[in-house]
Amino acid sequence: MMKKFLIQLSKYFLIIALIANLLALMSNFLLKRSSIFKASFLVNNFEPEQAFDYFIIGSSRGLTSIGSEEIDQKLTTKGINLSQDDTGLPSQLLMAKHFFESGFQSSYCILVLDEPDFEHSSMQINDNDYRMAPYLQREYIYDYFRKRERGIIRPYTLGKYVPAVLYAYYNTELFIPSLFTLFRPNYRHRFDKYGNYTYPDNQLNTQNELLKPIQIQKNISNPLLHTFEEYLRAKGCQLILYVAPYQGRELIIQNEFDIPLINHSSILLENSDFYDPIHLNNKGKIVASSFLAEELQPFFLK
Amino acid sequence: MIFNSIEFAFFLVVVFFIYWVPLKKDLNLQNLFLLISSYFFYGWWNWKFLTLIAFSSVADYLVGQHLGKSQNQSTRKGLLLISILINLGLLGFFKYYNFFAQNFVDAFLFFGSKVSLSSLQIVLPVGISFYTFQTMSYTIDVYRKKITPCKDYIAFFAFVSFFPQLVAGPIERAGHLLPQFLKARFFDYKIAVSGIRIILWGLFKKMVIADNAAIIVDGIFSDYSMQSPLSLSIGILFFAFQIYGDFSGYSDIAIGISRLFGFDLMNNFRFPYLSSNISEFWKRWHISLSSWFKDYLYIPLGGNRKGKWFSLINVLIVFLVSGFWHGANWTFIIWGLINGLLYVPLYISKGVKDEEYTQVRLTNLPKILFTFILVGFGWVYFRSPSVYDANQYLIHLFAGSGSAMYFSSSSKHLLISLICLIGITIILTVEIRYSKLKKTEVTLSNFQLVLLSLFILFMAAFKNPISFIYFQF
Repeated sequence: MMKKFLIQLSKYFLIIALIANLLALMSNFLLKRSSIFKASFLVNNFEPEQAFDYFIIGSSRGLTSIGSEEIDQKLTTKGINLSQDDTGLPSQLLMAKHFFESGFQSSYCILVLDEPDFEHSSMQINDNDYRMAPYLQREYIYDYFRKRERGIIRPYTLGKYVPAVLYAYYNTELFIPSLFTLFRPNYRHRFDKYGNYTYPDNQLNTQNELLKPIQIQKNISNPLLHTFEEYLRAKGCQLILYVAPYQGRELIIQNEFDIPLINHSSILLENSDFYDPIHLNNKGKIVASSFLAEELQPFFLK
Repeated sequence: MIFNSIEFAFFLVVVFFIYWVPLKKDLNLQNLFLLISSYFFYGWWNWKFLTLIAFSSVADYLVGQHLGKSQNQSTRKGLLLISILINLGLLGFFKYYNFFAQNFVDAFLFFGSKVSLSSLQIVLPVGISFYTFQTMSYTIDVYRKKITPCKDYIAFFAFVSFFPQLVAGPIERAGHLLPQFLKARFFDYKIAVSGIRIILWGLFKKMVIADNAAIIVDGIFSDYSMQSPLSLSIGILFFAFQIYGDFSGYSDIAIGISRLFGFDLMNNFRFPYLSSNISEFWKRWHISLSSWFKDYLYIPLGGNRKGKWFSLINVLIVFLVSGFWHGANWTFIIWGLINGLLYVPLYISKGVKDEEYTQVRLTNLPKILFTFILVGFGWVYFRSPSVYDANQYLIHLFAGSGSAMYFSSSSKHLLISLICLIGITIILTVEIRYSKLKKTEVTLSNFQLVLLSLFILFMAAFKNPISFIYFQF
């Protein structure tokens, strides 16, 4: 009786595990051939032989503060924005690695550095890191997740060998969107064909008075930036740090590294340029991109 | 350790094998092992509160023994009173002390006097309302001579702390569960398979419906003043299925696990949202508690023996106490009162009459929907942090000007709402079908179970594993 029960239980367990893994593999295939997330958007929409002049890496501030299209129009360059919201510096380094490991080349990497990453970065997995998961079989991506996962259930670590664990755990993030890409493989999740995203022109404060920024002393000393810079240098790419505008704050920054820094934290003084205290709206983005393009010009003239 | 956790899966596998392999021929060892396992299960949450279960078990065991020996009615009454005082005392202190203290202070303040009565930082022991009611039913039944006292203390202790139903029921009667600890249990393939089936159905209700719905419900209830009437309606709909999926899912898993160990637990839910009136709803929702109150409160109060109006008062008392049983908050009392008041017109028009379970037909549909809506309004009080918030929620539902739609505020929320709606459709379709077959338990085919397992795997809210709502009661 017991033996029969256990055999039946094992049989059904194996059947379910097999189908679940097949579904997960299908999901992985669909995501990799789609443009829904930046990692696959890059691989599927650009040719590796095409060299970029620059690529932008950052969090939501990288997405919404810089328009690569505006810069390219001004400087006649070719750039791409690979920023992803809700990510930190470690995820951004991962994206940079993904860029080069996918065969792309670029002269410059503009890193939109956020305040929380100025001095150190957390070892946690960021909210939107799952977007890199379709490429989990790649060693640098697997390593990133394996070193950061904690707890009993480790979907990324296990997911390399048992994809069902990863796709079941991140079902609303990976599995269901993959089904969506079945019908719309070219759909991009909140970014345009250059990887940019724009907040609408809603403004934070209707009173359009000029802001008087508060000055704040900051130190850039995150050791991960050194790693970042070394990695890029090995790939023939120069790192440029960019601090995007904040509403009503001027960061007085002491940069401990020999990495070029463009500090535009207080360059926009009108409330009407901001969507919220840390994000620009469309209007602000155009202005900020224009200022950035001016700063970048000397680099591209070299 | 909650049922839908990795820890519990390991625990269950280990306990199952030890129970059926080395201990299968020794009933006493099986019971002792179940007792140790149950204490381990409970101690995983907070081992300090094991002393409460042990104390309650010892007290009721001893009271039961003395009740069995004593023929003197006043002694017997005294013994019963001791048991009730101990159990209600524990419950009252841990669950209701702060509530009474605060209301006492507030009442004096209302009349202009200030009294100081400090509230204590009391942690509510998980499941205290369930196991105290279960042990109380034992002593009351022994007192009533419905059952004989259990001499086997290990079996009795195991009965009180039986881990599948320890923290959220079903609240078993000693007359049903205790004898099962006293006779040899043999592994039965069909019963074990039926256990697995019902566990999967319970996991679906809990992990796909309840845990996903909780994400949307929490967002809507915490920001109700900004939500549109449509969003508030969805909040009620989803909470109705969240609490149903959560609690009936737990009961199903408890029943299924018990079957794996050769035990039969009572059915706690019989498709309650297919009821055509409130009375029927309460015969199909949390059956073990409703019947407990009927046997140990309604009937002792006089039941319907003293006339229609007296009976009506008893019904209202039962609903109020039932509400209060759920938690030390006025919201639960109001919730109980609302359900009692909804029952009144039915009672007056029909008198005390046991309805048959309604068959779902097109002609019954308006009644079923109406009953669901009434129950839904009650759930607003159950879910809200205060009576004020519940009232405001309902005011905003009918006269609010909010325009926020939390359920569709992001693609993720929309997706989760969609999963909930699919889950609700599945649950209703299955229940209507089984109801038409006059079955009270969902028994899916092997093929359907494989599909259901895959559905659980890819639609469950693994990142939002909310503890079972009824644990707090």
